[in-house]
Amino acid sequence: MNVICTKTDLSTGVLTTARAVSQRSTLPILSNILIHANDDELTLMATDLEIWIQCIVPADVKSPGSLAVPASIFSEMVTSLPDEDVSLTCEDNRLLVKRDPSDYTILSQPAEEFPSLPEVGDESSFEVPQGLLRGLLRTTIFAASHEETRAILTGALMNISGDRFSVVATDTHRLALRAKKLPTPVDEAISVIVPTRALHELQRILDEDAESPVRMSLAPNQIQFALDNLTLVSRVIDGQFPNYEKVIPKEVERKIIASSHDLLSVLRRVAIVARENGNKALFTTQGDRLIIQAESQEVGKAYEEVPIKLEGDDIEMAFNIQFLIDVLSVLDADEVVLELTGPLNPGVLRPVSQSASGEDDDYLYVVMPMQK
Amino acid sequence: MSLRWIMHVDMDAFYASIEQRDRPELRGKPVIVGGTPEGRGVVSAASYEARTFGVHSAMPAIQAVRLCPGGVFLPVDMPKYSQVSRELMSILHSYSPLVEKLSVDEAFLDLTGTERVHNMTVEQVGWHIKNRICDELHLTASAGLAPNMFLAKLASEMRKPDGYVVVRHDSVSQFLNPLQIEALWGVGKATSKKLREMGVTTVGMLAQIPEETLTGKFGEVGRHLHQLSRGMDDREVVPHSEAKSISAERTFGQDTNDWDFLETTLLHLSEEVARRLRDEGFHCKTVVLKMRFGDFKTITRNRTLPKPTCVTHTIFHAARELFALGNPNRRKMRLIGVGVVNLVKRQEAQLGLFDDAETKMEKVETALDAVRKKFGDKAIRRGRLMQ
Repeated sequence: MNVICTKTDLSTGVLTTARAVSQRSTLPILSNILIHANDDELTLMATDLEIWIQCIVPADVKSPGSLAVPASIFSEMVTSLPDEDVSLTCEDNRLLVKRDPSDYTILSQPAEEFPSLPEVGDESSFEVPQGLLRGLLRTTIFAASHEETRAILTGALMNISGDRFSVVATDTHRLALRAKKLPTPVDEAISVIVPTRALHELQRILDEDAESPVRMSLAPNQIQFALDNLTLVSRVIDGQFPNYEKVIPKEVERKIIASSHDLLSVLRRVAIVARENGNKALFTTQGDRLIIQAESQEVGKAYEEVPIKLEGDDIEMAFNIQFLIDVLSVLDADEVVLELTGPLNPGVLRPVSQSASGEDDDYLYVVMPMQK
Repeated sequence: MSLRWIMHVDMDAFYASIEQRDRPELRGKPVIVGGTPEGRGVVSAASYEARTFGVHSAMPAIQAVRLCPGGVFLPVDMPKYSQVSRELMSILHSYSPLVEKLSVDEAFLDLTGTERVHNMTVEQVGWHIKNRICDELHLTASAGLAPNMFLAKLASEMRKPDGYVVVRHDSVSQFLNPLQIEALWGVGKATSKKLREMGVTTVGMLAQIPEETLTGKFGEVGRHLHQLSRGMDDREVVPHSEAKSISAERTFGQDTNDWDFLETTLLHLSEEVARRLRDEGFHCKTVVLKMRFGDFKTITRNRTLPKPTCVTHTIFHAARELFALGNPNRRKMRLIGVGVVNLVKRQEAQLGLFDDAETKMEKVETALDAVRKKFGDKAIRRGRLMQ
């Protein structure tokens, strides 16, 4: 193998791919990045057998070949090179990285040992604009669980049916749901649970303003997201996602409308105290004011007021303040509405601007209160 | 700043005294709780009458029978003792928020500053506690009041039963010096032998030895010895000392492989353990099964649950599966025990969106606990546990 490419292209590819490298694998080969050159393409690939990321790097291929190089060494070396052309040559099981007059040799492994990218056919596949998918992910997947004990909840449920694409994530205390209208309807309805780890990576990769769409393809055990120069494959989580529809409150007794910017900055301050008391904060309405308080034996007390528009009676209830900060941090809305029923009933938070974009974009965030 | 005052309260022959209290015909008789007249099991508690025969707790029942053939052997009625224990702790809590429960019948209280709250001297507060235990529970306790935990515990052991020993701040050395070195916490056979070889027999003599000499000879233990010999102990009373594990076990009157009976016993034990978990506000991550076969061979097996629980049924299911795996040939059992480890605090404040079967069951069982607390343990029981 002998290829020449620019440092910028190579390091972008290596850094993107390296995110799939296994952190704690029992298989030593998985700490490598697979480098493969054929005809006129250089591809990089890494996996932890849960997700696979494959990247195409523009390159001038003099001769094809492949091998597996240690990911951490290779990325460190590539990123620290000056911004010029780099030559990669494979000799036995060594990778030579050359840039006149420097010359590095990295001990590597034969490519044969590296697991190949799972084949996800095109039978069940469709295209989605990158910005649309990115928006769906950004506002939902943070609500998934981080506890490995309930594997299902470490994933997000993707439902695609007709022209509606929805993503749902929950950790059993809060739930985020966003649905958008697809420009082209899909023929076949799809429902799949994808690990949020893969979706976080995908979100980083997706480009809000890209013209080209992302092609999603589904196999029984994997889902593939393909972009022009990049492919991400993830295993899917097998099992039954909780029946989330039944926990979405049907009736609303009162609405609190507030500026999301004001509310978020107040919550962030109150959280400094609340985090010492299990993130618990008390929310009390008094007409057109929302009072937010927290107290901790170790730290002290916090008191804030936010102007609101209240429809309905006054209420007093407690929430995990972090749950509200999480959602306000990702929502692009000037105003939000918090719909509450009773101190022990779930609350629902929605962006107010939602009506502007009509029925093409639905968002809701259900959050359970804490006992006062 | 007021002087530090720590009280140690230790109930006298707790289980046996409760039985004697509730059954007047047993008063004055040697009562042995835990173990059977056939000499099975281990003694959990012995009344003072039984102790005159040399019977003590943790002694194999067979030995107790030999020492005290006329003894009244009773089974352990843990739910009853737990109830009395709760009553005891609530009395203690009314005197100080700082109560560290050591076991069902033993606790430390930090009484520092309570003289102002109760408008009497700390020594009188101590009398008050002792008298209330006697009036309300009709049981006696031995108590020690001293400047720290180590001295308080030593003091409560001085005059058992029904004793009350106060060690004042200016009489610590007077109290400690005449004691034999074995009275010190941490002085076992080996240390005691070495010290005696050095010619040290009393705590007073030990206190004279420079710290460096002791650390040179005993390492870290030496520093500990030096501090104790001078009555120093700066441990704090930690309220609600968190249990690391909870377990319950049963020794059978006769070795048995009656599967139905064994499984029912597992359910009993699981219920006992789960109830204590719920009482203390914990969930467990791991269930441990202890099995002792007829030939005394003892094995333990454990299983980590998919999610932490305090539900009887979930613990029982894990225990039953472990039992089937641990005794595939259905050998006769002498003892089985169910334990839980890896305890985590129950998150109660945050409500959940989805009440799964497990959460619902937890609510049911917590409600059952409340019924039992109010109307007694027999008010409501599982069908399988009815006799």
